[in-house]
Parts: sequence; structure tokens; C-alpha cells
Amino acid sequence: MKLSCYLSCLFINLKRNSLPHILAAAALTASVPLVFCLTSLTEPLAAQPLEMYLSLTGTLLLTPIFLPEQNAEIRDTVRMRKMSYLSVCALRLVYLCIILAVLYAVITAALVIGESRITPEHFWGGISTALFLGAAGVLGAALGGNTIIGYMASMLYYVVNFSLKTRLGVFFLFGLSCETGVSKLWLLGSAAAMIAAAFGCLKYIRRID
Amino acid sequence: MMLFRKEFKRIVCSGVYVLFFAAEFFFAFYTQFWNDMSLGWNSYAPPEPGGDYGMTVVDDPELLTQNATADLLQNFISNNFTTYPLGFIHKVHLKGTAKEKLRMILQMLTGFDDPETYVKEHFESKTLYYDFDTEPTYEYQIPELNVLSRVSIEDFRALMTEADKILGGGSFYSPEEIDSTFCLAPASYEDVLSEYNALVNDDKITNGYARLFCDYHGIFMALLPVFLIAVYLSEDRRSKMEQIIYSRSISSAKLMLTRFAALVCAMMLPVLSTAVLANVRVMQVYGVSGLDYFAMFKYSLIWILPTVIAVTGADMLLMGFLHPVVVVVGQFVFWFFSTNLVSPTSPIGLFHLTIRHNTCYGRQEFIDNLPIFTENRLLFTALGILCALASVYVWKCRREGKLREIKLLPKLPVHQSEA
Repeated sequence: MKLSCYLSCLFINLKRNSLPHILAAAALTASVPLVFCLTSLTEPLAAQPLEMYLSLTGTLLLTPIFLPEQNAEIRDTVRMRKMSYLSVCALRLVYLCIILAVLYAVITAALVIGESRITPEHFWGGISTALFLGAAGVLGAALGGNTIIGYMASMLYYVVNFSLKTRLGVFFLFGLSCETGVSKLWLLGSAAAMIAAAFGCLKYIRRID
Repeated sequence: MMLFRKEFKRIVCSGVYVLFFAAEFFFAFYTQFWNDMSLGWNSYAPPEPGGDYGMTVVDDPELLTQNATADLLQNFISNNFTTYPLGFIHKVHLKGTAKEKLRMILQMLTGFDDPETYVKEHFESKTLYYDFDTEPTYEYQIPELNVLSRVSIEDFRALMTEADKILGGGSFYSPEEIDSTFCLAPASYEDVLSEYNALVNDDKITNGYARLFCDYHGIFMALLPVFLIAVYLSEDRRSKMEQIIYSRSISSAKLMLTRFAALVCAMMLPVLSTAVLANVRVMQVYGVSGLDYFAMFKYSLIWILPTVIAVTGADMLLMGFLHPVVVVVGQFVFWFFSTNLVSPTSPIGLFHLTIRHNTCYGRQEFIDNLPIFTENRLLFTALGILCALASVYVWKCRREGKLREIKLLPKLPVHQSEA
């Protein structure tokens, strides 16, 4: 398939499908300085905006990747094309992850400029948290066949972290803020596994590809 | 009645309802209430004399004014205030007119012309610590300030409220937090015994635990319904049945209000089911005699039901205008901030959707707040019913083709895919 087809698909998806979600995520990012102080923070405090708030951009960006084709008739029309439906979804996933990284870079830069104690672990750990939440939404949407169920899965998992906290073990989202010392690679790996499971579910169980 | 049964059955037999029920059971009941009642967390036996009963809020103006003023003075000197305006920690460093205003407040409270200089020159430092390898920060041993010799307690509270506003809100000097932060003293055996006796004799045990039960359920029932409502109400559009339903002779009011009633009843099911389990749990701990077996259900109806009605009515109305995803995200944002703004010790406010009472004790406090609690619950019930009636009108307009879904980005051509 020609590169031009993928580029065309990329621009159309950015403009027509993902733009509202990107704008919502950007609005959330812009509200971070209003909710949190970003200056002169210690390491645990600097992790709070990245883990406890900005991670919701993962939910906003990634959960609706199957939304445009939720209607079965539209999905069938898309599946008739030469480019497979799942490759379109994968393309969406890639550019949304890049946008997620850009949003995290903006806030991390703000924290650095504010002379807060920031390490590379904050940046990558924050992204891992957001990806985990987004992947939970993707898997929920794939299994439930409805984007709302994806949002439910992602948002409820976010909420449960405030009550269960360290009882979630390696899947606790706010490890840097609470200084648990658990590596964020668990979240990153789980995010990848959930996304793979979602795509696998669509391809092999629901036979949508 | 037949329509109600049909809609109710459709709701409870759906997959999303199973998820809703499981989420409500797990989050509100199992992880919170059941966990709280695990042996070891709470002492179920009567208190014994000579024990450590923790701290309690006392009515001691001198203690309050001394502690709060000393803390404000200390933070003013280090110019480092910790606030929680939206539930998350915020570090405030004042400058300019804000700093001057706070200085004036401290002048009125302490009588020092220049509080900062006076404290540094006259009082010893207690601890020395460095914050960010910049200027060292001292903690001063501030003696008795005799604040009440200069201002009355009412003026003191007004000045502290002003200080809280200068700091952007959410500080420990706010009216909601000042007493529970600065006016604590060790609880006496008599106080604790009095609370215990109130729980056992006046509350018949279950009434006290019912308030704790509703505290937890109230948090999650302000969020969970939106998922069920969004999936359920968009099902007609997804299955292409909307136009067929529009063409039926059934009145819009009958259909929408029946759906509203069915949704509310379905959503109360997990609350009432877990109320049965909560009763069992209390019986396991306290025995079966002397309990009010209906307490959990009474409190669920007066406390949780208005929340469910309000959320259901509002979401049904919004679903008439907006895309379901927008309604879900909007509800989550509203829930997130409204829950963070209300702490477990906050007094009940008229516009608090989530009412907090995170203890099985505090009977007298709850009774004292009963008028505002009643107004709050009636307000949200009325709001929910009004929204449900408005959603009938919206649905009628859509049925007649007069109203379409609002597109937040109207110039953007998007897929016609419906959620």
C-alpha cells in the first residue's frame, strides 16, 4: 500500500475523527496549571500532576479509537477497503500516542521551567500511566463493543486507585507520587498487552479486521 | 405498568447493567464499607477507661486562635503555604498586594508592627531544614500570642476566612477546615463513651453504620449511573429503532418518564442489595439484638435515592442534546471536581451532590445538620425530576424533527456513526 494512502488516512483521521478528542485532551493539559502548582515541587509532588491528572489524557485520546466505526454498517463499509480496518485503528493508536507524548512533554517542560525536581522517570512514568488507562479503555471498548464501556473501564480503574492504592501492587497508577518504588514498566507492558488483546479480540473473536 | 416492567427487564438484563451492578458492589461496598468493618479497624467493644482515644475537635477559642495564628505566622515567614483548592496539593508563594494584605491580617492578630522581623528577632528557631537548597527555612517557637485580647473570636474567623481567600481557597484557614486542623485535643473517655452509647442506644447501631454505608455509596452513585444511561438511551439509535419508536402512538411523557422510573429503580437495586449484606455484616459484629433492621434501607432511600434521581434526570436531559461520549466525559469531570471539593469532614452544603459523613458515630452532628441535609436532598430530587420532565420535552421535539443533536464542532464533517 502506498505511503500516500497512509498519509491520506492519517490526515483524514486527524481532522475528522480524532480532533474533538485531541482538543479535549489539550484542554485538560491546559488546565493542569490551574489545578496544580508547577513550581518548586519535590519529586513526589512533581509526579502528582503527571500521574493523577494528566494521565486522563490517555482515557480521552485512546479509548475512542474504535468510535468512528462503532456503527456496524459504517464498519462494514470501511472493511471493504483494501486497507484493513485494524491497520487504520493501529495508525490512530500510533499518532495518538505521539500526541500524548507531546502533551506530557509540555507539562514536563513547565515543571522544569518552574524549577521542580523532575527526572526522566517522571516523563516516562507519566506516559506509562496514561497509556495504561487508555489501553484499559481500548480493551473495554473492544470487549464490550461500545466505547462507553471503554470509558467506564478506564475511568473506574482510575477512581479505584484512590481507594485501593498500594493494594493494586504493580498496577497502582500513582507509584511515583506515593514513592512506592515500583517500576512503571509493569504499566507499560500491561498497556501493550491490553492493546494487543483488544486487537486480538476484534480480529479473532469478533472477526472484524 | 407493563411498559415499566418491559423497560426494567431490558435494563437489568443488559450487559452494561451487570457491569454497573458489579462496579457498585465492588467499589462502594466491598472495598469501602466491608473493608472498614473488618475486625481490627474499628473497636466494637465499649471503650475502656485510661485508653488512648485519639484526637477530637473541641470548642476552645484560645487553642484555635493560638494554633491557627502561629501556623499562619510561620508560613508567612517562610512564604510557603500549602492549599488544596481542588483537592490536589498546591504550594502558594505570595507577593505584592496579596502578601501585604496577609501582613495586615497578622498585624491585627499578633499586634506586631512587622510580624516577620519581630519573630526572627525575638523568637528562637525550633528546627532548621532546607527546602530545595535555597534559603534555609526555620521553624520558630512561637509563644502565647493572646490573640483574643486584640480581636473577638468572630472577627478572628472572619480574618482567617479572608486569609484563605488571599491564598486562593482550599487552605487550612477556611471555615470548613480551621476547627478540625487547629482546634484538636485528646478525646476524653467520657466523650468516647458518650459517642458509643449514642451509637448503641440512640442509633441502634445500624443507623450509625447506615450513614457510613450511604457516605460510600453516595460517592459512586454520583458517577456510575451515567454509563448505564448513556448505553441504554443510545441503544434505540444504535439498533435503528428510533424512527419506529417515534412513529408509535405512545406519548413522549409516558415513554420517557417510564424509562426514567425504570432506570432509577434499576440503579437502586445494587444499593438495596448491599444494604442487606451490610445488615448481615453489622449483625456478625454486634449480634442480632438491639438493631434497627430497616436503617440501611431508610437511609438509602433518603440519602442515595435523591442523588440517583438527580444524576439520572440530568443525564437523560443532556443525552437529548449531546453525544453520549460528551455526556460521559462531562459527568466524570463534574463528579471529579465536586468530589474533590468536598472532604470527608466537610459540613453539608446545600449544593453538595455528594454528602459526606465518613464515620458511624457523629449522630448529634448529623441531627444538627438535618435541616440542611433535608433541603439538599429535596433540592436534588426536585432538580432530577425537573430535568426528567425537560428531557420529555426534548425527546418530543426530536420526535417531531424539531431538534437535532448539538455538534460541538459543527463545521467538522464527521462519520454519522452513533454511539
